[in-house]
Amino acid sequence: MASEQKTRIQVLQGTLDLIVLRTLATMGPQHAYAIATRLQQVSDDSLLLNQGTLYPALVRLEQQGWIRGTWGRTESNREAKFYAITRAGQKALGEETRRWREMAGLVEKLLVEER
Amino acid sequence: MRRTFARLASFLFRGRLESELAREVASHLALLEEEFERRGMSAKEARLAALRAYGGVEQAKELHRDARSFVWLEQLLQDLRHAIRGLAKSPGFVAVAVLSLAFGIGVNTAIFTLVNGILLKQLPVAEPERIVQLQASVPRLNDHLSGFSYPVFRELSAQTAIFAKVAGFTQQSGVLDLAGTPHELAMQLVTGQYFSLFGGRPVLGRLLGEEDNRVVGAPAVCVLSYRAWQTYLNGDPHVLNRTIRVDGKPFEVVGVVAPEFTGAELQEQFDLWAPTTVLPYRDSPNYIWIRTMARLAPGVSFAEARARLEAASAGIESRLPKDRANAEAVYRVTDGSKGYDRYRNDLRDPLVILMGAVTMVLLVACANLANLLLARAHERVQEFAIKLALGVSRWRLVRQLLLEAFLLTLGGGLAAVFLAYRLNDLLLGLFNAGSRYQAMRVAPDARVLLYTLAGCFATALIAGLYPAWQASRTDAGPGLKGSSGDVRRSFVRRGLILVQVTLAVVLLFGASLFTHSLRKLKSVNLGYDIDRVLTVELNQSGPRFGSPKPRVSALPVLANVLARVRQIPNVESAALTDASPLSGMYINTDVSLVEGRGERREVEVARSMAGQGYFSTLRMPLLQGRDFSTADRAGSRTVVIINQRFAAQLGIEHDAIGKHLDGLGFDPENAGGNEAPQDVVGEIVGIVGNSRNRDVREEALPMAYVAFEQARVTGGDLLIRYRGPSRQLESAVRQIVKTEAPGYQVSDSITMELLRDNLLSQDRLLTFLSALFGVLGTALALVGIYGLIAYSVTRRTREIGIRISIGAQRGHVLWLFLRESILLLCAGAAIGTPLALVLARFIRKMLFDLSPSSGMDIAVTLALLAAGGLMAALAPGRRAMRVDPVRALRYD
Repeated sequence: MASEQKTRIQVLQGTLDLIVLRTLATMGPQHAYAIATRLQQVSDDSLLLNQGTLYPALVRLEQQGWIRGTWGRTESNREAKFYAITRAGQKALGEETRRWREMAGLVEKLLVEER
Repeated sequence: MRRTFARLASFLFRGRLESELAREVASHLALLEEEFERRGMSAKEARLAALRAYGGVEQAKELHRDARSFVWLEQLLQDLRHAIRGLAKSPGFVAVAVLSLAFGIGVNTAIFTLVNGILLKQLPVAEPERIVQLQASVPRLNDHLSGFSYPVFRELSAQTAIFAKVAGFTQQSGVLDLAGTPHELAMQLVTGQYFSLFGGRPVLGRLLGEEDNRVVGAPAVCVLSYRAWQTYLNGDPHVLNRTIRVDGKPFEVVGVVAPEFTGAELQEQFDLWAPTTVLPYRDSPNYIWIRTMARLAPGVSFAEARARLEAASAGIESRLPKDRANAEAVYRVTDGSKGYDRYRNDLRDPLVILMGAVTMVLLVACANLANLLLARAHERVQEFAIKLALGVSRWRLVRQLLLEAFLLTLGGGLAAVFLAYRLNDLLLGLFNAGSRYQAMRVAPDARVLLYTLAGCFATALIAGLYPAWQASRTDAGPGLKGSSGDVRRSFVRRGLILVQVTLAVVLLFGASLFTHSLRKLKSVNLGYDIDRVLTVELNQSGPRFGSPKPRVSALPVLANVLARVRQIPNVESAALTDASPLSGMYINTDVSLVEGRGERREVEVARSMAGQGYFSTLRMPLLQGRDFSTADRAGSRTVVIINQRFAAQLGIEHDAIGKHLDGLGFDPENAGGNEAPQDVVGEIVGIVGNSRNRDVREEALPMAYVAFEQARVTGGDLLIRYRGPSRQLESAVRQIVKTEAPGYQVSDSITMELLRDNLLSQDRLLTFLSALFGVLGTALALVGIYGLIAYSVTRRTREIGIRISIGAQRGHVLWLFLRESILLLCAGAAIGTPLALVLARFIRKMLFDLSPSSGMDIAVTLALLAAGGLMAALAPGRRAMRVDPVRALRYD
């Protein structure tokens, strides 16, 4: 258990919104479960994420007007709320991505220099 | 921003969102389950795995809610419901708390209403800070005046480099006669720019302008207030060009001003405005009457205006007659942003003191609330412990308790506003009582209500914070068993009572000082006896705004009326005078002693006309010589009586009789209608005792009395000493005037006692209020003591039971509790007395004659407080004495 946890990473504060936006932008409208599954797949299960923790991020994004949720049916004919990225969301995604890269680059640079 | 709205919206629609969330979570779980089943788990296993993968469902929902809306808002609503339910369960507690807060906050609101209305409110015009009031200071007379003669006003209006607009105004009362129904009106006579300066807007017709104010005696026009138009003329839309009669004079109505118009004075309410041209003597340089305010010219600062006007004073004076009243003045501007200063200057200090006093009352009420809350929190230890054990955060517990406190103060605040309206009416009534010249009007407004609300918040915080914080520190373990750290809490509770007692001592101290001062003022020996003396002012009737023609001498008519009045059965004696003492009317004149040779020295003296019987009616002692007699009449040798002080001033205390005074300045009856006062020479025939004619506080002035029956007068005051009720006498006198003096009217009739009381209106107000605050503070402190002891008896019932069962005397048990109250009272007096002595310095100016006897008053008041404190402790103490040990030991 202990060794397994070491390899899993905690989602960085504030990055979940960006990840969700990115996911919706590439995959089109998705329900929360699909978003969670996708995140796990992409990270090869190394992302430590309770699926319930997605909800605050979804509400935040919806209230900001970056995504919009509508009720629909899954392939297995179950009802689920599908989230789609909006135009404002697209713009925000570009902005947030740029900011993240700057940030990551900066951190990376610092880490390299420290070594 | 967008999110804030979204979150607020979520708060409002939280019901719908909640069910949607549940739906979404359910669908999520179903999808997870499906996935796990697909991987080959049984339905049951899949269900559990789905829940595991999802994480805590309720936590997720909670996180969702946090992000969705403002949690604190939702919790606030919950807490509010909770608090209301909790309070509803203890109505007794709520009643005591709300009532004591209602008084504490109520007096604050009432006094702040006065502060706001008199000291803070600004004129409702654009840039009120550019409005100034004009004043003259006359260094020669060492006097500051806010009234001018019209020629001075005209000169001031011409200073266009300093002022953009200048408006003059004065106040008059008049009687509107509408088809036989008389209505008393408050009128303001105004100059042309008045309405444009103070921002009036007509709802009907037009307002007054320069054209209306040009020629004295021109047909008069007037503008009605909205209220007068509605009340007296029923809002008649055809009122324009209608002629109404005020005091018999016709006024043509040219407009009605909008209801929000206040004019130059924020504390006054006027019914009618007319131009100053209705005053026949308007243009006289000796008639000082017009109050003046102005708006500074664009670009001119207040300091510049002040400097320029002072510099212009010499030029103004050079264009005006030299021998007029108040000549050689220097003109100044003062702040006019709050309107004409009629009360502000006089009432500033008293209001500040009163604000301090009501703050103390509020603090006493706060301490009461804090104590009540502490006691209540103590009873709820178990409840708090359970809450904390169930995971309620301490911060939320504090919030819940503060909310309860705030609900209580808000309830108190609502009752307080109601109370404040009542108190405001009462205070204004008290202040204006019996006064003919003042009608101060102030009402609570939005700012006052805001102040009250802020007061509620502050009170809740001050009183509620400590108890709430204490409660939040409840230890869940022992708390569940119902015990808590007692020592500190009872220490705080005693401390609060000590604060209350101390403040009550200070308030009572102030109250007894003011009461003592008023009593002293009322018992001042004025030099005459005002008990049961009626003054009746008689004047030739007819339109008051008539033409300035010399009037016929009134002496024969007045003498006839006097003779008839003396025959009324209940009249002891009566006399005539030009103006009754304390009526506020007085004439000063420069006289000189006529001696054989050498230079004459002019001395200023107050001159009064005393009819035959004046001194005996007022019971003033004749010290030397003789009184005026029937022999002193028109045509006989002019005689004069002086008072002791004047004799001393002239240095003739021992040989005054027979000396002559020059410059008595009145029209002798036989001179035949000359306009200018004569430099009459009179022989001193007597010396009378000193008297305070102008004011109660002011030392007696040097006085010279001439014989009323030797002067040429147009009216006068009857002084009537009577037995029995004054009302009957008044109507009898009016009847005599009606039959014996056609062409004359009683313009005023008032007892001298009331005249004196009018001069003391401010003292009366302060005494009443300080007494009210003293009593209120004391009552609240006594409630506090009672509460403390009663609570402590309840809590210590078991202990008392043990004490009694092992042989304690019942008296000893009583003493246990009385001692506590006595200690608190003594400590309160020990801290409060020096504190009060320090604070007394601030009210010193307002007090009259602080003598050792005021110390006596204070001692008596404090003794009453002590007695009250003992009584408050005695009631619960007796309960302790009667504790039955058997039952007490079972008590929990």
